[in-house]
Amino acid sequence: MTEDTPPRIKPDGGSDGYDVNEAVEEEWVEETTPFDRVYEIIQRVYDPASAREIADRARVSPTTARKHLRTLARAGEVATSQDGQTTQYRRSETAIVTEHAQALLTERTPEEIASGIAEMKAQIREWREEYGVDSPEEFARELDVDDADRDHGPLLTEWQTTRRNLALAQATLAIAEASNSGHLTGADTDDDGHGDTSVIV
Amino acid sequence: MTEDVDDPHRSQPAEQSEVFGSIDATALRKIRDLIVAQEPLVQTASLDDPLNPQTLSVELSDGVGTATTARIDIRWSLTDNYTAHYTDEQDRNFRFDCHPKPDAPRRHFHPPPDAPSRPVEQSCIAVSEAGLVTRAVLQRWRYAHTNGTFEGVNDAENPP
Repeated sequence: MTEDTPPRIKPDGGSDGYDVNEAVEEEWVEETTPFDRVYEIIQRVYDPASAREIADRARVSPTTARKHLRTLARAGEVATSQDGQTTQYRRSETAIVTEHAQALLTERTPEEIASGIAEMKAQIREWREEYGVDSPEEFARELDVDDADRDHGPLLTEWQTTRRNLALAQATLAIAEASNSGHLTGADTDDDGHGDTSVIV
Repeated sequence: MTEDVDDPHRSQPAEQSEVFGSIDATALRKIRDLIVAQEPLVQTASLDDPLNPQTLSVELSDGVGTATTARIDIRWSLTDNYTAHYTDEQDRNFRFDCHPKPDAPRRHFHPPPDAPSRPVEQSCIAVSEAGLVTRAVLQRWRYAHTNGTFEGVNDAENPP
């Protein structure tokens, strides 16, 4: 039955208030290594950020952040750019696609992904026709959406999300087909991509 | 060695049209895995559509007070906007949100029992990272569950 975990007591057994924000930070730092935290943060950094900013967010020193970010950049997980003297880091596009593709291919077959792509395309076509606009951005301007809680806010998000997930699904399918051919690793398979396992998009 | 400029302000997209922003499928998967690892009362935690996820739904085997089941729906955007919506079989609701909302704090709380769109309160969750916010939401849910009441669910400070 219900086993309640008691609230965590601060290490100093403090009698002061128990703040949720401090508590979760402590818990995170306790359960993870500095590398884990830098990696966790950079996995979702889509706009370039400095090592110092990532260090703050990961609760590590700038030196530690820089060291791990360089390692991740060499591994292709992170892309770098220069802003004057400052090196900036973000998740690489390759890593975004690869990570998404791996997750998707454990949950769906290439055939299911192909039919999902068709559905997303049809859905986007439907929105374009229904609202007489080409893109979610145009949709937002036309309808003056300014509150995600109201009116067309949820639809705007859904449209933007669908457009991105369509692009990711198409990339995933391409990866699946390339892997399936065996040519990526130089394997010699009978299926050269024209057999019954190949997917028609 | 390059000299990094300290910029405490998280970058926001320039286009005002991005009210909430695209849902981040990767973030939803990470949040799902963290919740499953952290919360023993989770029965299922699943994306509504793996191919085009909009919402992560977490089914709980108990609710607050007399409710015996509950669900927390989570949405997370590429721009770190989020909503975490508790609902139970007695149709009681609350939401911890973070997104631009006219005349309201960016981080805001839609109070129980029906989590209306307005008025909202300032959210007690001040952390920003997906992993930290997830832990904080779980902690607030667990506080309400343990005490059998929604009273104080949006108070960061609880007696030790």
